[in-house]
Amino acid sequence: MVALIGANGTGKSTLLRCLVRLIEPTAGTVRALGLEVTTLDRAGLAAYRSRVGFVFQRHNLVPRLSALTNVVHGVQSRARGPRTWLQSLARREVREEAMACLDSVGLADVARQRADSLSGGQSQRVAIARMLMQRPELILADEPDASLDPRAGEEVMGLLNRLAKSQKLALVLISHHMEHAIQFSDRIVGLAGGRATLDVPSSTADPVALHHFFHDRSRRNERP
Amino acid sequence: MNGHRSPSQVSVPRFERPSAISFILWVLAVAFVVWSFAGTGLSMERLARGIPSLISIFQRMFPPEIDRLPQILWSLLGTFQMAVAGCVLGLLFSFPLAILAAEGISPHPALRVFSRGLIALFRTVPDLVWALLFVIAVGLGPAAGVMAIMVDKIGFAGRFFAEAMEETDKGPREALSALGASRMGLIFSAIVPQALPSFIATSLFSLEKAVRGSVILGLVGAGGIGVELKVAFDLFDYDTAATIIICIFILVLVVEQASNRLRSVTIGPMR
Repeated sequence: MVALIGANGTGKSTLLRCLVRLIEPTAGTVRALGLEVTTLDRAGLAAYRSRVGFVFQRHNLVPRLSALTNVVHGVQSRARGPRTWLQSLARREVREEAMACLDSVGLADVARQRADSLSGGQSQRVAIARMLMQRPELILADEPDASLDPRAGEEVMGLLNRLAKSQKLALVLISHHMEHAIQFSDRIVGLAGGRATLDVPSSTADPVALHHFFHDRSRRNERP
Repeated sequence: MNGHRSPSQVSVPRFERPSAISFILWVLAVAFVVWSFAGTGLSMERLARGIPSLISIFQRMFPPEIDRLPQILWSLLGTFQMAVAGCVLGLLFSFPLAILAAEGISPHPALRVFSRGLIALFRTVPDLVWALLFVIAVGLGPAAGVMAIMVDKIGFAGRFFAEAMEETDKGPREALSALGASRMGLIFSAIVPQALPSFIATSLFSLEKAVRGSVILGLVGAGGIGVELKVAFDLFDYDTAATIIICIFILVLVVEQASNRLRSVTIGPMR
């Protein structure tokens, strides 16, 4: 479990998006899950993406659809067709798996609720359930705690950490909360100017030193 | 006093002085409006002369003739059927065309330009012109009317469907794209559910528009109640014309009310 830290504009989100080519890298190569990601064709990229779970800062649920349908959408990583579009059309085993994913994030009771009626923390947990429905081998989480209150943010980070541990998944997360970075990762990588300038085990990371790293870089980034 | 004026003392002009170019443009616009009135030969004298004729027509319209009411209602039903059939066909064809025309959703820029062009053509040519063309192509009758309404609705709904899809939040699309979903998956899971309220509103407006339009199409031989109306006016049978106009008014009103009700009922939850 790796936490990426750094001031705004240092390229953390860009790095994560380049890993699944939501942003096309303009130079260099991306290697992940034993693949040369940058050279994959359309079908190859879709197959690779299906193995990588991505948790967004803004959870990106379809607002008018139920929590369960949003989780069912995760099956589109390995299945096609109308039966993957709505929970009411989904196969029984897909619905059951989606319910199990919702249950694992503690939200089985809101399965039929519309996504836009959920709180920020609940929405993020539904997004995590959708990601689990994908059966990923690697999780990328782009500031999943950013738009949440401190308590909900900590719960979401704890959930991601527990799921990654229990399912033995690699997790790369971005957080601006140094405490979260230390508490919920094994290794901390600091970015500045698009380069990794810090790489320390979380167990030995000093919160004060991390704060200094973060704020020094922030100031440096502010200069023209 | 430190020499600074308080905000209440600062004088701000109530209007901005227009630039020379915008002043000239305003003058030209006003001149064009005046010229348009002059060009159409519209005058108060002619209007005044027309009022007695109008009153005479209204006097001959009342009381409306109801002997032919069953035939008129039958014809009205035919008009409504023509509107529904044309509208449904138009909506069905406009959906795939809108997908091809929507920016960020269309599979290829060339397809997008072609689809946009087609939608623009269907929209900008009036339905009466389409009706004239189809009357020549398939002959007199409701079939020509159905085709004219269909083409007109492809132009109307195609544009609004495409815009509704373009305006959806890109976040859900990105999330599904990131997990390897297919293009169809993105469209039907992330885009259509978000655009659905707009689709429903556009479809119901299309139906209202089709019902109103279908009345006129009969005037050029494309079937429906318009034929009856034209014959009544041609024969100076103004009391029958009055019955037809009242029936049309009631039909359009009922369709609009039903459409408003349907809109509020159907744009609800989706699970």
